[in-house]
Amino acid sequence: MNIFEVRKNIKSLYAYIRLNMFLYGLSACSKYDNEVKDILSYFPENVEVCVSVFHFNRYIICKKENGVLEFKTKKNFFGSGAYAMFKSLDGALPVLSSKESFSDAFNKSKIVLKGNTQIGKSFIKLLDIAQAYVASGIRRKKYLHNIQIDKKVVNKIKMSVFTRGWL
Amino acid sequence: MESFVFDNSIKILSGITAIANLPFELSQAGCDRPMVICDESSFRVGFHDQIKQSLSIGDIQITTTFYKIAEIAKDDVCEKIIKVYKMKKCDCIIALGNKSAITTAKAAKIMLCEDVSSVDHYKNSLISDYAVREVPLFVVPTNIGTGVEASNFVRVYGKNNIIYEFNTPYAVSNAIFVDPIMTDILPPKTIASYILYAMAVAVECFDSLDNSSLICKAYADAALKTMSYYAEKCLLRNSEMEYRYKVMEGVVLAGAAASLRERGLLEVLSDAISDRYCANYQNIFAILFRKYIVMQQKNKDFGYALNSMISEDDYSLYAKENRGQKLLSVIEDIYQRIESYVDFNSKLSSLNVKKEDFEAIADDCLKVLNNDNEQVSKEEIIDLLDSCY
Amino acid sequence: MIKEYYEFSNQVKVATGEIGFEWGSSRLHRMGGNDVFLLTDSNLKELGIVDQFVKEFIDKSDLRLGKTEIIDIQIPTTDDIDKIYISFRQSGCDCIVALGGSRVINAAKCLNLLLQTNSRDIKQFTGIDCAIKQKTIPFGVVPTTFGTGKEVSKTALVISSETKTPLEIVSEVLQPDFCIINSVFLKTLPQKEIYLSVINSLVYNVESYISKRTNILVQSFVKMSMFVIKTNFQKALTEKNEEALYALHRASALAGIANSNTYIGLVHTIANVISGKYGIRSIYVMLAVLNSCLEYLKDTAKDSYSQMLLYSLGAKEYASLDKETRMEAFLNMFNNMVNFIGKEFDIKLKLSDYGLTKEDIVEVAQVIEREGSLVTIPKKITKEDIINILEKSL
Repeated sequence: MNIFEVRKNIKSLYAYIRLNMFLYGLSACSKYDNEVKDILSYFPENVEVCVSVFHFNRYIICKKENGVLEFKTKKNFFGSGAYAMFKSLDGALPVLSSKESFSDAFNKSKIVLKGNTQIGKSFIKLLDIAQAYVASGIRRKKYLHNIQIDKKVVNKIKMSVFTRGWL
Repeated sequence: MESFVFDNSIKILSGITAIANLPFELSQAGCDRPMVICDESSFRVGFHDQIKQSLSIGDIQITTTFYKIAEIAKDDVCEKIIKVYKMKKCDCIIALGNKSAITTAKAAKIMLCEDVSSVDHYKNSLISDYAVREVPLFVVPTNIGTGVEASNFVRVYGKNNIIYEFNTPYAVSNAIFVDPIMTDILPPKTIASYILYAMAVAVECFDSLDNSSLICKAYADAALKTMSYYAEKCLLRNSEMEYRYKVMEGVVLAGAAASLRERGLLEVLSDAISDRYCANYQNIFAILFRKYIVMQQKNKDFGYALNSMISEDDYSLYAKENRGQKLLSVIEDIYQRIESYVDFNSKLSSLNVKKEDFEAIADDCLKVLNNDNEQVSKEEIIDLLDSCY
Repeated sequence: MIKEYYEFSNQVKVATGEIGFEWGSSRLHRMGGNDVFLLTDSNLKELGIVDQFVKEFIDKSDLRLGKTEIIDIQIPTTDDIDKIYISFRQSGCDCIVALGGSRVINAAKCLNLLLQTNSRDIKQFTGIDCAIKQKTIPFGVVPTTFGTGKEVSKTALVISSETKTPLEIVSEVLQPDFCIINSVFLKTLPQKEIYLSVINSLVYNVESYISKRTNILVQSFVKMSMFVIKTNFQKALTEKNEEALYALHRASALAGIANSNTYIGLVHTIANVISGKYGIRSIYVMLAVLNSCLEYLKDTAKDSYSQMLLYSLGAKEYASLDKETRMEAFLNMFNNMVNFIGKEFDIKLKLSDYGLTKEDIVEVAQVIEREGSLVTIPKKITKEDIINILEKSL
């Protein structure tokens, strides 16, 4: 295995870990953050939204079925709703390491949206908020200061992400 | 009603991680068997490995690489590329490198589109109206860029000093990737000639007040804004990747602007001198432009270009009638400052151009220009050459 | 550390002027087109413009008119697109030409998308950059109005026949191969429509310039567009000067190219939502909310407004103002334009004149807040901000 393969594998592993952290963060935000609850409430019933990276066989899916929210990782995605995909792993890395927000990446054309564009763009907003909660304080202040979060629930959400990740 | 045709389609991906999008762009074009055409220096410096790495992340392997490209685009090289392309069943071309690599790739693409295997075919035939196959082309310029990335104009050098010139939409690229990591430190003299060339090409786009060539002016405006801010910084601090990247972006945009205009006196004259003395085309263009703009000031109004080169506050201080004069002084100032930083070849004599050849050069130019209906006399051409000597 | 990254795409070839028709028809033929499937609307047919176009574009070339399809629906449903697709297949044509305004161009783009992707179901392409081109169908557009930039944009809108919801498609595959800009069709435009089209182009320009998706090329396109509008606006209005109309048409195409790279902003988002919900013409809603939206964005877009003032009013006026007053001057310019058009053409400039109430505003604000398009505007906007903007326009 040459150095390119090693680097590619490390980047892919990092992307997988971070995407899962955002998934847990989104799951926690849906319980504690009012804005996320509000956005999710006006998603239609029986909808799936997903985020992934081009040519990366992991899809982070948020499914809303009969009012119940489910968050999971899968190797494929056939749902309706919306699907946000990063065009490249290198383009995704600044976002996954919380140095750039999802909406900034979208505005730089690093993200492709399939499906319902309104749901997709709202999903980008959700991911922004989840990212802001999951990111460290320093990164949030430096790169994500435009995203408003509820400081009272930051610790709850971080604890939820940590325990879920650990388990 | 003035007519104008913008017969070019341009897609630019510019910035850090631009080449990381190569697999995605290839997939959008339905391709997964790329042929990479690059010049030898780009291959050895490691740019080819960068492309390979980017493609491998998207699970795309380079089918074949052709890097034995000469200094100029040659017919036998194009023919070899076509043979290899067909043999390896490639489905797209990635042109990586300098002017010769990109021009060779475009020439090969034209021939593949028409299913022609020898450049000699064009001795007696024009490019046909119908493409037999679609060949997506992705361009990744390296170093400071060349200005040919977005161009529809291709020159191929054949046997017995025959030069084939093509101006066809078949030469269009699907996307141009301007990535900072694809720049390398170059000698300041080379950078200077490219900077002045790009600036000259962009200012030339503002040669009239008519609104026809608006798209051309938009690209030229973007090029001038970038170059005005970063050109000197790049010359003085060549090691900074950001400055090299911005100059490359400016050169690519200037090339895009030029591609939308008809070839004029400066282009034809620069080609003629470059062919005769094997001198650098960009350097010659920059030398000629310095005097050309002064001579043309009475007939044409380049004043609008001033808005792209100085701040809005300064621009607003000049009345319409004074802008042309101010522009000349800004351009002359830039030339002088660059000459003070580097030993830039600012006269034709330093490129071994001979005065006794001026008439022959003028005759060669007139043959091309009269075919294109450009109104210029032999005396005007010789005057221009004299003033640049 | 370089953080900058942008993409800019300008795929549509543009032919302007007298040689446009000849160039366009020969281009269609060179791309393999012989029998033209012409999409147009009944209005143009009645005015004789279609016959004039066929004479100039098709009869004088190697092309043949295969079939003429009339499009009168404002926004087509998926079933309408399917009908047009079947009509194309039955006609045996091999190339498409759209002659008309935004509704005709919209329908033609959808047809082109289905043909180029070898598909029958347009719903699968909903979203951004979802379509992959599989083959080339020669497709040209001849716009007979200006101001929307539809001829160069990469968006189309259809309504799902099953769910009755709008489906937005954004893709380069939608774009035509070329568009022909010729002012011969604009001579019949009433003065009011010219004015409204220019305002629409200017709003596109402003939105593109201040958008979060903007880049150096978008700003250059906006700059050129605004320069040309400034020079030709009065002449086009007062003298109906053909050259001036032609210039405005080209400026509108540039605004369209800039906008196709940045997507719509706050003004168009609000206008589209209210227009869709209450059936009011979108441009009228835009006039009502324009000033409030520009006021709202002024603290983040101060420098941009100042720069755009130079392009729209000229160097003399720009130099006569100091830095602090330039932004106000820019806002006043739009204010004056809107007031003038309201007075001159008897257009209502308040949302309440169209029957909207405070309760409607709250409901609309909720819908607008959920509009994903707001992710591109330069300021974080809340429901309360939208309510304030709409209340000021009430």
